Amino acid sequence: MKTTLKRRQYNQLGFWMLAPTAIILIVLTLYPIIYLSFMMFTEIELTGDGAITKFVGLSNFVRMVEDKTFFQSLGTTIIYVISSVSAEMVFGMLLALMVANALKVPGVIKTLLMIPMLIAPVAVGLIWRLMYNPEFGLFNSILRGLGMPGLNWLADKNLALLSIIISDIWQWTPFVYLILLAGLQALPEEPFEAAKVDGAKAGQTFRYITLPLLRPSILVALLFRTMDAFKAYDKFVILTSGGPGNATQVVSLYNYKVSFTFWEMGYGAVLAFVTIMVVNIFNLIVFRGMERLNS
Amino acid sequence: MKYKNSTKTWSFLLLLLAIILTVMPFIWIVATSFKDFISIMSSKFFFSPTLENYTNLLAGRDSEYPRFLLNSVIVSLSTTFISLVIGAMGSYSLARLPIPLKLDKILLGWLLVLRIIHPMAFALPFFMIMYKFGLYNTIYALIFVYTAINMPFTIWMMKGFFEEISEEIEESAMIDGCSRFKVFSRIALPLVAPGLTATAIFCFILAWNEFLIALILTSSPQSMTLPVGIARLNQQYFVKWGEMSAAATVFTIPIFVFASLVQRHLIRGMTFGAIKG
Repeated sequence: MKTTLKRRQYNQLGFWMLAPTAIILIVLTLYPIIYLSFMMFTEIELTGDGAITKFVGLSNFVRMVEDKTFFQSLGTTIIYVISSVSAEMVFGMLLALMVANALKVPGVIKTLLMIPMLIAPVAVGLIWRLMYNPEFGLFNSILRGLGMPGLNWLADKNLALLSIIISDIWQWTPFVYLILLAGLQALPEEPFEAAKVDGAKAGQTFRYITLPLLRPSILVALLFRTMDAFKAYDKFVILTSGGPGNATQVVSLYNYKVSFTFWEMGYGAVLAFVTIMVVNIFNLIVFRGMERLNS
Repeated sequence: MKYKNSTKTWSFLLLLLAIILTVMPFIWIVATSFKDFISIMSSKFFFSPTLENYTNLLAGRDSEYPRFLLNSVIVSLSTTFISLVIGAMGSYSLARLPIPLKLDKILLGWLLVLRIIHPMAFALPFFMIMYKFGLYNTIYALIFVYTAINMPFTIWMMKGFFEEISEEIEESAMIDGCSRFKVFSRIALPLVAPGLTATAIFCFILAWNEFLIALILTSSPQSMTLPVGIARLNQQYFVKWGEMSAAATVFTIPIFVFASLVQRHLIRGMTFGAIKG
């Protein structure tokens, strides 16, 4: 009897403790998504007191299919994601391999290395914008000190995207490094010792033992970086605002322009939806690709 | 595994290089923030430092920066407080209750969905909602939205921490007559205090750094936060580089302060527990 009473009291309390959470989660995260789905089929005009919503069926979708700028922005985004994430994976792996067991990395160093990930992307954008400044920026000062002419890092349409990619590498390589480091340090010793006994060379050890064993960590780093890279916005706004021309206009920038500069929010909703689909497909491809590589 | 000394040296040098590359931009920015305009434009390496950028920024008559700073502090602290209070209760019950309908798997799934979804997909409906409710361009709108977005993450992290404390302490307290809620507040909460702190800091950092939604939901300095304010300074016709550097430096100070406190939990937090760094 006593247990049953306690259990009922317990469950009731549990319910009340969970209720505020559940309400907030449903109302404030599920509801907007439903609202967004609804917005895709409308044209919205903002007036002084409210908004006039006009139902337009599929015309936003039709427009999207013919929107060259949108597809260009998708292309730019994909190039950006592939370049930055690959570079980050490679550098992160190199760093993790070289440092992993040879040195014990104290917490202070780890903290220092984490800082680029923790500061606001806006701040990263600002810092790098200053460093890329053609007149007094750090990079051109160094170049001129070496006797070479300065480069137009952010205004040269062939260089702009690369400059942003470099800033992304600076910001996120520590992320990959820390994940792979944790993974490496958790690996068992026996396979490596066995390989050494069998006379395996470093390259072979890496390819046939380290890499497969590290696969879960690699996957986590890869997936999380990819998901986050597609959302890139803050840095781009500060560094180039999508310019020069459309050279660095990634999806989020174009979407913002459509929704909040041209105020075509219904169409913006469709773009947001399509972007989500593209990201999902991309992630699936990466995932399958990794599985295929392994077998 | 025994490593040759030469490997150790190379490792050390590589690590040193990584540290230098990581830290160099910060050093440069802080240095620039203490330079006067002429020193900046002429890229002087040796300069005499000045505080004028900071005084202009924080005490200048026309400066909007103090307002941005105040807004950011209020929004971030409120979001953190609300997320933690509501989230702690919710995650405790998720950690201890028999979970119906696989709620914990749904929670993780929802977390991943939120991670993939672009903030624009939230910004659009939230803009409409806030506009219709007259909350556009207020800090309340920001607090609402940030709490909503932070909540799943807060719950997930704290649930992990609650699951780590042993149930026996709680059960023996209950046998002694303690009510479940007392067990929660007097025993469980103090035990997870370090984890709670880490979660609170994460929450704070997320709100502090957030840009896109703040940009969309605010339109005047009365409610703008630091990231938006800094972007605004960036767009002026004549950019005051010294003040911009000072603005960036002040903006990132909390991060430096908090980084060491969060270091141990960071990777675990950022990958939803997939990696226990």
